[in-house]
Amino acid sequence: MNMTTTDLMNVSVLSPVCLAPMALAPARWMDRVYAGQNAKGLVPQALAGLGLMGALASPLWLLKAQPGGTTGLVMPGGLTAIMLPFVALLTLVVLRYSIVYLHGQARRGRFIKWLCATSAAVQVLVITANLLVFVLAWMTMSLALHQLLTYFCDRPGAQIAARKKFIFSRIGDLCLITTLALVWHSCRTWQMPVIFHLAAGRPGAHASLAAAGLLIVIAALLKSAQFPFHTWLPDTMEAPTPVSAFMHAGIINAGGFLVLRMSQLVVLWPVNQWVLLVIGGLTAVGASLVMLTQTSVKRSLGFSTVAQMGFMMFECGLGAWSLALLHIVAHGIYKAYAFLSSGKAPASTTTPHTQTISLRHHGFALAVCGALVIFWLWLSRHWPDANPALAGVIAMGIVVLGWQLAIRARNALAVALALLLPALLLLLHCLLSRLLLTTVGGAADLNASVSLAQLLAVLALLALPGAVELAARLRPHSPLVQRLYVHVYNGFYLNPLANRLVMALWPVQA
Amino acid sequence: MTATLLEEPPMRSPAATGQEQPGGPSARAGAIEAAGWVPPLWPLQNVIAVNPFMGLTHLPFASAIHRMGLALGRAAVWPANPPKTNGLSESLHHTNQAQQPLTFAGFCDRKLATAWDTFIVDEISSFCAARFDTGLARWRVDFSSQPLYTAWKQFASLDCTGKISGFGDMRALALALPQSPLDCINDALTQLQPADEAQPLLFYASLMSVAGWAGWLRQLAWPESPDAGQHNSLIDLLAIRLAFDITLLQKPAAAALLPAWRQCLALSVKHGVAATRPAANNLMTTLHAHETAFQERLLRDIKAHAASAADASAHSTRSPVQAVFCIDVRSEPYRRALEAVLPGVQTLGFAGFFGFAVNEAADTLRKQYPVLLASDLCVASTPKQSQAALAAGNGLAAAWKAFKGSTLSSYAFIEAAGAAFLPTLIAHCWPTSKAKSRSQNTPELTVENTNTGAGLTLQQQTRLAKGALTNMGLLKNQARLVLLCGHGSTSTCNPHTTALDCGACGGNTGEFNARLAAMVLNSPRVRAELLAAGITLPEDTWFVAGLHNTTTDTVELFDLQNVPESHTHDIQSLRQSLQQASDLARIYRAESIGLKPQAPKLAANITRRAKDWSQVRPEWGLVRNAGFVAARRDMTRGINLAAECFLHEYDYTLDATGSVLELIMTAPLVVASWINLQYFGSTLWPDQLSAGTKTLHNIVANIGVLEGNGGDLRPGLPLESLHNGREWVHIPRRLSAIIAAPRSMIDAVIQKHQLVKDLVDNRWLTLFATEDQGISFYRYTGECTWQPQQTPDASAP
Repeated sequence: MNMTTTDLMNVSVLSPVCLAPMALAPARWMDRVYAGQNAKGLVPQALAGLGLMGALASPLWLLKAQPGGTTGLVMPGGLTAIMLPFVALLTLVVLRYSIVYLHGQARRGRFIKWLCATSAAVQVLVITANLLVFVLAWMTMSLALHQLLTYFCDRPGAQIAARKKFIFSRIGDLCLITTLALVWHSCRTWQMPVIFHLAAGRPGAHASLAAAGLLIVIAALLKSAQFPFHTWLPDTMEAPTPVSAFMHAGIINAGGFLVLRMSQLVVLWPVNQWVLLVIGGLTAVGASLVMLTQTSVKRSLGFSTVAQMGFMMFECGLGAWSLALLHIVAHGIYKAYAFLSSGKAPASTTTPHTQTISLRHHGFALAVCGALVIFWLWLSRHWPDANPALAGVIAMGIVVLGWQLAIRARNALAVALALLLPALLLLLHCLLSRLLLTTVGGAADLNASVSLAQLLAVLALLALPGAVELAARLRPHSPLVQRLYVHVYNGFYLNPLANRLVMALWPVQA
Repeated sequence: MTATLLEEPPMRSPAATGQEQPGGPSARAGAIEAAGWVPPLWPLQNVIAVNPFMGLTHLPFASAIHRMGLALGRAAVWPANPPKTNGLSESLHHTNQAQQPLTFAGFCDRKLATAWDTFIVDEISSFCAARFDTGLARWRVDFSSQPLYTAWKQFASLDCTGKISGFGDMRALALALPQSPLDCINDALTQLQPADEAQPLLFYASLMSVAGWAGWLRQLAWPESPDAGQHNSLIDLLAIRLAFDITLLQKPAAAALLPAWRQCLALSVKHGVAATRPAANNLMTTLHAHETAFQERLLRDIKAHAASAADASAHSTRSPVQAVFCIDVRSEPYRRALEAVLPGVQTLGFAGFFGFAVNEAADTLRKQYPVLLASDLCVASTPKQSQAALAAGNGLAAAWKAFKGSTLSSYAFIEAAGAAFLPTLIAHCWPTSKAKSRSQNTPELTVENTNTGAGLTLQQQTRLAKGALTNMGLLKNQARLVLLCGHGSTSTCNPHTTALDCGACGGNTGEFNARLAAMVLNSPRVRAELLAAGITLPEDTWFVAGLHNTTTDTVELFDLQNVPESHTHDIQSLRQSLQQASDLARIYRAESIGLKPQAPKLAANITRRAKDWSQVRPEWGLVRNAGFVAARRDMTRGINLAAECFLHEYDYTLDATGSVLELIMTAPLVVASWINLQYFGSTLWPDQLSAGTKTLHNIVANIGVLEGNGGDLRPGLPLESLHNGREWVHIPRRLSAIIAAPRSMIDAVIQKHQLVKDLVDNRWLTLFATEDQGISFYRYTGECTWQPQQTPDASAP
């Protein structure tokens, strides 16, 4: 038999299929099997490992295949090829962690089941070429996650957080179901390659597709905990640590993935991208301010995720699709590590490292920063979709790094690191852009329509938390700073508000 | 000694007269009294076991348990088994003997099915986290220049959470509150009108509703001066808590419950006097049964052993090696293993700081001694790396941290460096079995007095050396090689990792004290001084420092470069024996951590387990501790004590003045009882006095953990240190202490020290005395009276 690339591409199905036995097993049976003191959970790990092999192999064919078929199961292209191995690896890591972490707990088997179910749903979402399957996977993922979030079902806090999420998710589901109808109305098919082809062929001709784009954007914002629907996310620390890790590293990205996958519908109407830009930007600013004040490790990480998701949406709004994908993957890896290691005992509180910083050092630091910015601007001219706003945001970060290194470390290694990072970033970005070329995109027209003044405004907005941080450091006793601090520390009171609403709609017994 | 023993300040206030105005002087006295009942809480950097009943030991055991139950809103019951559907947490809810919470908010919640008490605790906890954060938040408002209450007033006057949550507008209220916390408490009393005699109990319950932060406040003022009551930030906390409670009075439904609440409170006080509730009785019966079973087994084993080895005289011949271990229960199986592989060895038990109550001046000042002591001695410890390399490393780390955390750069950080965490992520998931050595690259200890103020004078060194030798019972018959073995643990991503380290070293690992003691005792100058003071150390006696890793059961030796050539062979053979003993000790322990004793690569598996970041039970710590034996090792050598006993070396024939016994009974015995009662409290009240499940731990303010999202700072032990998921591994039993000394000597100490008298007279521990090395025992029956203890015949099963 002669295997075609399209057939071989189906190897990517191996990964969700491997998780299916655990995902579909009855919860009580799983509890019984894994309640024993000697149940090591080797089978789930082996299966997830096998799935990971398939996922790692699949890009070989995913990247070669031509998009377009009307019947294909799997969506070819770079987006699938990057996301699938990422999700499969994360699954194995979190699964292995949970199996040991929850050892001895009576409901460990159930946890393994729902973790596998959630992950399998995410993987189906990533690989499917059919919009109906996509939406079904989307809803399954959310419902399975609900089971993980309420793992400690006696905890009122866990119930409130899960219910908040449940309500927002169902609104998102409604958006996607409507999208299904709108797409069917204008395309008479749910095969995504066909839909994208139609959309790209006749821009402007499909008002219903453009409206579907807006619904997709709303569903994505709800999924990725964007302002003001973010309050459930920092509250989900009421579930065991690996749930947080998997959610912050994997599931929360589904919103971004949705936008990337459907980017050809999103770009049909400029308003969609403006919504992403504004909501994403506001979320990034608000959440990073709140993050500054948080006093617990996990809540701080939670608000950091909200901010990063906001920035990722912001990038989508600017049409920097490949950078958004880089953000998803890099943030996922970092956040998985950060959550799984969040129990690291705090080091003894050392006295802050005091160095005398002379004028000469400041001069040196300024020179290093200047050189870095020039280096960066030169580098970013080679960017695939050169974008002044993003280059500016990243330049801000590079200046911080350069300044800190020059002031504190003052050695060759530090300067090398400062030079290496921007170059590395560019390399990663170019690589991803090439991979994405075929599947994501559409015109990033937005750039043209945005004036320099507006871009500077955006930049200033993103720099706002930094300015507040500086003001707080310089004038800690000013009444204005203290007033702002109290409001920010309480997350602008959105959480008590959301809790009160949820308790009114769907009360939890204390 | 510079180290002075601090006695608990007596916290017995004059009985409330009941004649004064509410909130009069009696309110103040009641608040100070209740504050004295709150146990302190140490930070995660050095977790220290604290007796949760510390302030209640002047009460009989049963009354104290009852009072604790009243304060926590739940009567004590024997821990239920198996845990319910939900795994560990909440496992006791269903057996909860319904008892009314005593705080007004808690009472209203019970009647109205609301959750205001939770809300209040969350709010107070959130404020305290902001106030006491030691480096987690990048943006902090500095309220620390003000007293706690004033800072809270300012915070609350800006905070809209109360209004938005529907609790009540705290902003207006906070502005209207009086300036002084005592006035605030008086205001609250005027509004709540509790019976006067109920005030201390109400205050206690209010403070225990935020027991974690209350404990933190008490710890900040530790060690306490006798007039601690004068500037007590716990009074501030009490005022804050009561201010929340009276806000609830604005709600008509709550205000209507006020008379019922007063009645409930008065009833609780009445019952508190009688202290005979069925639940408590049931608990006492079960507790007695378990304690009696333990005591019978222990005494029978010792008696059987004494009968079989009656002619074994004290060590008249010189043993080749003496090994001194910490009294910690985990050293017992290791000592047993070492004695099995090296029959000539003499092992001894002593508090793991070896009497060297000295601060370690590293990057911070580490208090390497029990918290019951105070010491201003200090020895500098400098890392071997050069200062420049260290500074460069620190600078790089600081710059990297700023890059990661700054709001300007966090996006760039993720995109440029996020993916670089992939190898770390994978390495943490599948750790290698290569153990990290502590004896490599140890910091340099500068014992001698230096001009920086650190260091010990020759007199100080001699005094410490003399005290250590005297109290360890090493004044004569010292072996050629004396191993001073401290202990420490290894676990990865475990917030409570220091809870597994050495309590006698202030919740740190013990190598500093062992190394320091060995250095001082090996010093020729010190030995010359000792000789002048009449203490001879044989010339060929060499002290070597070691560290017992209680997680992996390996023992590492330190400073081997200093060992004289004459002793290198002895060290070699000691290392071999230690290795064999470690293998044996791991076999003893394998089953308890879910490994097969006969499995190949047991050591590698245990090391890997210690490095596994998802491992919530790296080791079992001091679980099941129940006994304390102060005697010569001969009395217990060869008995399998199953890691349930603290073993302290003591020979009363060498202690003519009774000073060694006095030390043992006022320090190690008290500490052992603290540890024992911490386990007791955490097991009986897992929802309030344990740290909750590790799977939800969330480090807060760099000092403690929350369970999940909010709630109070959690005191006590994590559930995973008490429970294996199916059953409680810890069996609550009060300490049973056996002291091999004449009763008159023991009585003398009891009469001299109120703290010890309280512990034994009020039944916080059971005391046995034996004068004949375990052939017959006397049980202490209170007020310095004893009665012969009937032990079952040695031949009986």
